[in-house]
Amino acid sequence: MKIKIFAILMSVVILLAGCGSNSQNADPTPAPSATTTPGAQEPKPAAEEKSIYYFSYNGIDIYMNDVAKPILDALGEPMHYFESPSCAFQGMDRVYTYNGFELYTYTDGDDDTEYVLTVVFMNDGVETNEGITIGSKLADVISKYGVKFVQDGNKYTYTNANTNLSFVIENDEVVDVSYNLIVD
Amino acid sequence: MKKKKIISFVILILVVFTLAWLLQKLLMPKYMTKIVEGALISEYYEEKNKDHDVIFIGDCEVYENFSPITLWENYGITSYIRGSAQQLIWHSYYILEDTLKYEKPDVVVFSVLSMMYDKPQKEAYNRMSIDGLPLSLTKIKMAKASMLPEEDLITYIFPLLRFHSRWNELSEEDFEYWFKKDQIAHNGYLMRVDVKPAGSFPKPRKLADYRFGDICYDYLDKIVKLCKDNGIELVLLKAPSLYPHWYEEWDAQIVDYAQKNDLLYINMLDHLDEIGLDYSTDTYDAGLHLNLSGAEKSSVFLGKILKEEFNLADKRQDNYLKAIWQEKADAYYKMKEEQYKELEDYGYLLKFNLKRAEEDNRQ
Repeated sequence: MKIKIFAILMSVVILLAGCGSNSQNADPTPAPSATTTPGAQEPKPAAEEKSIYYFSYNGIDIYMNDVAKPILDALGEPMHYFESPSCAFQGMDRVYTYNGFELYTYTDGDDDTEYVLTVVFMNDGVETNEGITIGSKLADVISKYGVKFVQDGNKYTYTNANTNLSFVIENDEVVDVSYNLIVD
Repeated sequence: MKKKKIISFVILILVVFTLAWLLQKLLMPKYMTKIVEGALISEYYEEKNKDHDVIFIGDCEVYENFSPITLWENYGITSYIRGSAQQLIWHSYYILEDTLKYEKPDVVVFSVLSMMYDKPQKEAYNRMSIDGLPLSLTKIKMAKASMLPEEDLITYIFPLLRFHSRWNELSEEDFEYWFKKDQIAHNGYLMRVDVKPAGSFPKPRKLADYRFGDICYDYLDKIVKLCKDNGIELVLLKAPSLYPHWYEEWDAQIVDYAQKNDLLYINMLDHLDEIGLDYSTDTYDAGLHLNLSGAEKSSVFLGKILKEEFNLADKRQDNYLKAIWQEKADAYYKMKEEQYKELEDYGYLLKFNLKRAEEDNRQ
């Protein structure tokens, strides 16, 4: 009788503990890195298919979610470096400023490896591989990238693989260009 | 015989639930080291005297930037910060609703930075804001309002269903704090005495749309109504954190909203000199959050406004409160001393740099 009760007891407890939702999900205990930068979203590593949208600078190709170190080494000393620890998280979002653009990186979990999160243009000294820069006309964007964009207010976004390429338009002119890692 | 069976069944059920409760207590994150912010929400319910003049609601811009001890010592204002990491506006609304079950403050101060988020960000943040509330209809409504698509409501009612997979990650901390947790904060204020001077910041990004999301306005309306219905003065506050960037367009919307709803809005970024903040000494993370000296300065500034605007009584001569707050102040100054000692011994604060401490230990 006692064994029976014990068996029932354990089965119920195990059932209770074992069932429930989404056991495939990661532990919801906070893990490092969640950006607080407006306009950028929290990163999540995506499938590693290379996007057709990537930024090139001085012959260095920068794809979203690439490991940042070789890129940072090749780019050399940034003009400015900023790090932003997020509320409650031990991880760090970092921003490296180069001539004409900012490179945002993130770290994932307890791993200190930095990955490319975002590239943002700061002025017209840099351009996309298709020749669009700050100050280009909306018509130029559409002629280079086509009409398969998603419009959110005055933001036009083109998507491929793990990357969103976004243009913010004001008075018919591009005022912000950014490559962003797609977040699910 | 039948009676005996019923008794056995009842005992069996009780034992099962007790075991499940024990397991749940063991498996839930304790937030006692490293990510201590997760412990903030539940600490409020341990308070003996839940009767405050002022309640703060919001994210790190309240629990890092204001010190209730300073408000007490300088103005005799009793206050509690019901803050949590990346507390979004729907979290704030339900946390306030829950708080009002225990007390009716004279003033509620809401940190407006969270207006910039109109979507849930991450389950871990939800957990840190929601799990600490006792089970109630408010908690269930809060979870429903906050959940990401992949989350399940049942896991907020029975967190064991979410945390059972932590069994192979249990650490010493889980056993040490299984039943009793340390006090992390001081009436919701999370103290840090270390210093990291502010430098320059990334250029503010151009946004596609500066208007706060409709859902944020809906919840702000609900907070206003909740306060009005309970005879509480609501203050909208932008804390003096320099990053993330607080856009002029955002500020204008809050100014407009405050005017339309006859609310006081304080943007402390407009008063940095008056507050006396020195971002080379008053911040621990280069301008994102204030350290203790910064939080005390900002509290002196805010306390004066709250006292004058809302005629809050100075309660420092109330013997009952005096005794309670003396105890709180003792704990506050003890932690302050301990943190300075840690800085002297290690060069950093252990609780917030666990990984670094472990690496140093290995060397």
